[in-house]
Amino acid sequence: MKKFALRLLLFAAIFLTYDKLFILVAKRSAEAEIDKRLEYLVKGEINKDIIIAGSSTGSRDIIAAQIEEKTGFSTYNLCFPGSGVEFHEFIVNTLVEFNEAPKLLLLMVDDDVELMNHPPLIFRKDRLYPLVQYPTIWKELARQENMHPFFSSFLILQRLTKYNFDLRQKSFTPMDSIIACGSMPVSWKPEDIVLEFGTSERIYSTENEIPEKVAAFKGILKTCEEYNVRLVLVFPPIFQAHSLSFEKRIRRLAGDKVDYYIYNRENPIYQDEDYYNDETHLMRDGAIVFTDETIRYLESEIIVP
Amino acid sequence: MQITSLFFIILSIISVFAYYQLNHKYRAFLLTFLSCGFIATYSFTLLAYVVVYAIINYAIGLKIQSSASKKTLFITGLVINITQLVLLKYVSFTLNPLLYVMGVDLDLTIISRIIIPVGVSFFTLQGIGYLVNVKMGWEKPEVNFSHFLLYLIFFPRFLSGPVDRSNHFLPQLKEEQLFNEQKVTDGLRLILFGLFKKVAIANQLAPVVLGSYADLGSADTKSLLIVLLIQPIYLYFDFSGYTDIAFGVARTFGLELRPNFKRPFLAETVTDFWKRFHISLASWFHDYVYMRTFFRYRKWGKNATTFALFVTWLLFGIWHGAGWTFMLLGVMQALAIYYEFSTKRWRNRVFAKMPKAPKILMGRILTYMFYGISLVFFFAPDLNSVFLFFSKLFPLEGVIPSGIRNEVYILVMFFVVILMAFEIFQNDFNKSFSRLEASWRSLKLTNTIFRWAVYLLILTLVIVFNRDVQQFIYFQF
Repeated sequence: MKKFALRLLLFAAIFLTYDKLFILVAKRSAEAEIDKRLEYLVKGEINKDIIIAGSSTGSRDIIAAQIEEKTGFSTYNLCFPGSGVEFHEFIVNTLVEFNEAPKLLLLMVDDDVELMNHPPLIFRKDRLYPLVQYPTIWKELARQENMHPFFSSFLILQRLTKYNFDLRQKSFTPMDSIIACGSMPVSWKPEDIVLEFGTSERIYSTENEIPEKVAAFKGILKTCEEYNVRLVLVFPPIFQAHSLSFEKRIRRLAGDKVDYYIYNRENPIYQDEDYYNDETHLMRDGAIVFTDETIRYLESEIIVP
Repeated sequence: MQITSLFFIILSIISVFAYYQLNHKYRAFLLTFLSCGFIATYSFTLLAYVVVYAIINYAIGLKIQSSASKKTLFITGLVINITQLVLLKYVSFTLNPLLYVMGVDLDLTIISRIIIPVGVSFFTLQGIGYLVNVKMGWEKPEVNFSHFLLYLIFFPRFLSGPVDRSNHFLPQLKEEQLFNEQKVTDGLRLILFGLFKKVAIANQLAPVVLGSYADLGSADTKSLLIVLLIQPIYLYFDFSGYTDIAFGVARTFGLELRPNFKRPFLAETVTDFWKRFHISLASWFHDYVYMRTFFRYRKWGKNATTFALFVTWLLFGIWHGAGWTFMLLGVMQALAIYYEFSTKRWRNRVFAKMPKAPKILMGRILTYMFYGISLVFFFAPDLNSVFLFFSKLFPLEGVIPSGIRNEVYILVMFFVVILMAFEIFQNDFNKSFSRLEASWRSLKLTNTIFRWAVYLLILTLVIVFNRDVQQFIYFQF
């Protein structure tokens, strides 16, 4: 039995050594990524005055470079398509932990699914996997995946997933081309898409809310307060009537310590399907208009002088 | 506790060392304690329930032997066993509709919500099997309660079997298990291969199969054809993966479980298939239902066989769950076996001149296809879904869905081909396989290095693929 135990220990030692080789896979995985924003974030390289956070509405509808050019404040877009509020909380927390806290955070709110179970908006673990070489990332993944913290702390393999082994260089598609400021405006539209403006009033019900999402939303408010980050909750245009009951709910949750910007519903372009890529995302032309209006709001509220 | 978690495996390995350090007398007690702990990770109520269940069966078993009214006691035991199974698993299909018709506003599913009936179908069969054995005098009642409890709840097989027999398991506890490095290594290897089957193959195929059933409305013909083809593989690797882990863990403690799989997809008939797939369950039904029914109605002659066959497979289907789909699953197997049995002579005559190899191949393909089709009844949530599935198979149109056409699935199919080729080699080229096995087990340095390299590779795949947590299919039974 002693001999067997020794053999087992030898195998374990070999395995642990072998496991360390996979740091190369982890490194290559990060290199192969084309969207480097998360890597800049954990490396502390995003020290900007204004940060935009949110899901694809934030990526597509607001152009950070335009804000920077008009206001003179350095601006960066950290919105990730398909991400939910829990992911936004992670982004904001990582931002203030590893970088200088921004002066202003524009948090794009998804009308009216921000706090609901909406399958297209998730915690984008797939964006984190390529960066498992960074402790903050694998710790977050361990938390998300319910991995045993002890094993993931010393086993590189435990932090990897099958997607890390796709070591090919990633490339942009027409729908997810990132420009230097982090925004992802789109000029391409599927030919067969037909949009119809939704006029009916949507009644928001808190019964459909997910407690974890509400907690994450509150977490963002708390972080901004702690780090003295001025927070503006932005309701971007969608191709249907704005949900007042949802807006009320958000106002009730966030209180009066934050600012709110609701897109200009008087502007007819927001009811023109040519300005939309789909029901919830603007085309580049629409994004330019919406960004301009956002800048005017920021200036009028003396948020930016 | 997830049986595929590293935590479970490492805890099992540590337990092995503790087990062999203990005096023989206390080892079964340690395993009982570990099994109780394992069940408690699911639910303390379930643990308490299983212990009470064991006490009842233990007491009835002891009484049967000395009692003058053996039959009454045995029937009481049987009724208790079946009633608790019905209350925990089949209420929504049986008692609840009955209560509804009678106008009683009572939802009995509350019992299963409190107890959480994990493993109940498996330990009930073991409980019933034990009572039958004792009543028939095939074995003496177990006097050591700790041993009896362990027979029912031994943790590697508690969740999904294999269904053990008391006269197979209990005598092993009486024997002193000396530390045997070969056995322990074999056990660990089985655990590793089981994890690989489950994590690197079954879990990767799960989204294709389960995803299609979850959204049959939007599935297209080609994807359903692929589901039809891969669902037997998926079920096999999922379940045999679990079984390998259970076997492996048991073997590290020097204990052997009843075999559950014997290269099932090499079966040339459905009858043969059920001697190779989920053997422990099929043989339990054969011995305790088919044989008992046949014996009881033997005066009916040939009709007794037919009757026993259909009763057995109907119960086999129902055992899998409360629903028409499972019943039909069982009836389909009965029909196929009946067809094979009644046309055997005719088929032998017709195919007598056909060369052996294509005959074997055709038999294997037909058996596989039959099982694949019957699994629609296994995976579909209800009969409507079964109809929808088959109606969508025609007409053939569309292309291979993008979800199925990526590298992960190609890799998984590569693993499947390797393992299936391995089974064919083991089944059809026995001598060469034995030589290969001897070489694999050799203690030469080069062989050891090769072996360890294979282990490292499999371990890597297991850990990396283990991110897609997917419950074992047979966990629900």
